[in-house]
Amino acid sequence: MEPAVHTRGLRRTYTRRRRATVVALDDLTLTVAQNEIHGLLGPNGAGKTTLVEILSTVLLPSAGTARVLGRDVVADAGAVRSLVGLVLGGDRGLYDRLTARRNLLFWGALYRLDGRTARARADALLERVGLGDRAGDPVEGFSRGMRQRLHLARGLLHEPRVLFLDEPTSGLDPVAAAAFRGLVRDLRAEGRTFLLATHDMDEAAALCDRVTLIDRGRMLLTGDPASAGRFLGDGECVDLDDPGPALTGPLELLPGVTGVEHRDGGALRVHTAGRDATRRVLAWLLDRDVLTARRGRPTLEEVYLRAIGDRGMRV
Amino acid sequence: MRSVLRIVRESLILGFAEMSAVYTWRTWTFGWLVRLLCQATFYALLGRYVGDGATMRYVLVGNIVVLACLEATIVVISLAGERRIGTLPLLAITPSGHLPVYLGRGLQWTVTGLTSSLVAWCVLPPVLGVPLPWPRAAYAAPVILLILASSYGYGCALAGVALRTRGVEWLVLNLAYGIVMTFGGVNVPVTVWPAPLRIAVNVLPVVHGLQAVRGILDGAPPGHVLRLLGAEALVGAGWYAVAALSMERLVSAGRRDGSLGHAG
Amino acid sequence: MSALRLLWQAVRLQAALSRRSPEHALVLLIAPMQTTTLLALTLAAHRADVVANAVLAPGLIGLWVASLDYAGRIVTEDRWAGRFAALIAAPVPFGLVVAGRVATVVLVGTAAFAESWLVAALGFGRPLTVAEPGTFAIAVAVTCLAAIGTATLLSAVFVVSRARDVLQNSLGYPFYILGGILVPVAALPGWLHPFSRVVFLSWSADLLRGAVHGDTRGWPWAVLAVLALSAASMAAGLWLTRRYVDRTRREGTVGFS
Repeated sequence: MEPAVHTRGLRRTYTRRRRATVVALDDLTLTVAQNEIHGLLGPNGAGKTTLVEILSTVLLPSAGTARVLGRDVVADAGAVRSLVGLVLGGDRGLYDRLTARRNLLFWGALYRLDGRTARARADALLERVGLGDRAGDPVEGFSRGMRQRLHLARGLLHEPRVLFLDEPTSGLDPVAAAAFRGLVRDLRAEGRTFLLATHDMDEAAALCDRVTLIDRGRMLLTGDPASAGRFLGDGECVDLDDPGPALTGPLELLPGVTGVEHRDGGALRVHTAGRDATRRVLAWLLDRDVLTARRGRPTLEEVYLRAIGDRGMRV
Repeated sequence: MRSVLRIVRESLILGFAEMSAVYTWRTWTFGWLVRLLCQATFYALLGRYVGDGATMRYVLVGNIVVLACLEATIVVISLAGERRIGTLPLLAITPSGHLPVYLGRGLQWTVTGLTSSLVAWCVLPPVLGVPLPWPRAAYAAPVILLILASSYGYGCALAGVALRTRGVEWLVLNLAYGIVMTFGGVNVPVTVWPAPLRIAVNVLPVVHGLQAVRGILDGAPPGHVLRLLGAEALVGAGWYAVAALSMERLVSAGRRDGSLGHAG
Repeated sequence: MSALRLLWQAVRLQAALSRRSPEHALVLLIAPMQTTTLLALTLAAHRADVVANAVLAPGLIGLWVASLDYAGRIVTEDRWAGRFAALIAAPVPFGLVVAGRVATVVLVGTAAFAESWLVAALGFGRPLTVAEPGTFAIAVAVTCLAAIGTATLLSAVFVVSRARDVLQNSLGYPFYILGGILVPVAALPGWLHPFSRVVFLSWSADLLRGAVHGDTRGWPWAVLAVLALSAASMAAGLWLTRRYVDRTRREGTVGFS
């Protein structure tokens, strides 16, 4: 089966004022299998939106190739457009004065749906995204979450097989964000593929089959979120609650221990080279009556912070 | 064809929904329509003051017909709104493309433009004491429709400029309409201008159509009127071509340099 | 803070705001085109005696549009109602802040006079000479004052009515006719005269044209009329805004614009 998305050597540069060239994507090679929820992680300006825009044919690549379900996004843009749906985040992109239903009918006409199909799909989708009761209300009175769900309905109108979501849950309250994720899972169950640009680590961990971490236009890692820790080397770790200072020194000297990290509240994280080293550390701790030690794995967030580095507020 | 009609229909619904945010039936009639009638009256009164009844009729006819152009060019404002609300990238990737929407977004103004210029056509001449030769004056209605169409193309072409630069839509609108109003033979014949200007105004909408209206009122031979209508249609077609080209370039350049997705 | 400094601050604020939004240049764009239209019509009819009307009218229109613009756009853009509450609570006279900001806008309007003169001189070879410059200067000054008063009144009316766009579009041409800025009031139907005389433009237009032609009989009365109208509109505007703010306080909608 051909991949839903495949890019090879994808590069995109922008020429900004004073002719300075900014590299937004640099030699990006990425494959997203069909029926996968793929998370695209990275800080602001990492190139996530640029990638989504190229794949949805809004933007042309500077070099390299990108294919969606085997169709080239440049040479075969028309075919790609009928296969993909683009869902923008934020408040923009909707006609405030129109009702939710009329917004969908407007886009239905642009997607060349006949009247009956457009009405039927609009009603079904509004029901599905939980806006059935508000279908006749102008969008200007909608909350952020409602707008986001309407954006999703708009993106689904022409029944695309691949959906690109750009920061779909930014600014949503936790309940609305959870409902939105539930909706994405349901849609995946119908066989759709999602590429989801986000910088919400919890969302990526909870929702995505695989994640790709990009920074400054380059791919740092790609894989499933649960074992993302592997990307930090083949490392594992042992977590201890408040072991006291006496243990710290000897722990560092144990064979296979790659580092000891002091964490909030006096807790300690011991990084090990692998499974055997972890076993040795746990046994050593048991011998010293430390019963609260447990094996841990770096979370996606830690991987992210480690990979992106301590850049603080700089972009 | 049917899908184009559906886009036109949805665009009109959207246009009137946006209009109803500003106007109700009553405020449109007593606010906007009265303002347009006063505008034509203002110039007509000047015509009588500086000249005679014939000058007044010349000015009044010109100012009524140009109302169609004024309203049609408001499409500039409606289209500039698309960039503000961030729909440009979404429009660009629909299978219908962006063009039908770009050309359809201000259609409500053609409907109101036709209404207000026809109301003015029927009401102002008798009220101001310069009656038109009916029933011949009725032939002006289809000509006004043609002028509306060519002016709308002109507005769409200039909207291409307003879509590229932020915050200039009101300037573009007033300049577009003001040039026609000033140089287009509305208040004074185009023959008063120096030669280069006289030639240049031939590319403006309204110019030939208005001459056709004046020809109809004066009982000019049909062949003369038809030639003028042909010229007006040609000018209109030219502006639609410029509009299509300008918007095609806006999107293709936007895909290249990334300006499509940004707020502008 | 001294009154002058406050006034200056308001002027600077408005200048900074206007510089950043190109649509405030609208007045300056329209005036030359309007002058061209009016002069062409006048000269095509061989009425050299009406040239002064055609040159002065775009200036008066510019002033009027600037006042409408201030009232209709600038104030609303700044969510004026909310700021107004803070302003009347502040220890500075509110009128000065308004006057300072309007003055900047009105200054832009007066630039329309200059543009119009230039178009007549350069485009049509008809430099307008003023027979009585002293009276002319006084006329321009009181006209600007009246524009400030009008802007204050209109801004209050706009906020209270909430039909800003409709009013802003509608309040132009009817007043150009009533104000006799081109066709003198005397040439309008008699029943319109009483209405004309409460529009400051009608007095200003007569005054300005008179000063250009050197026919300024009874000019002090006209100046007094313009001053009285500007004072009345200023007072009415301030009264209306105070009433509006009081009402919003009572109804708990302060900050709602």
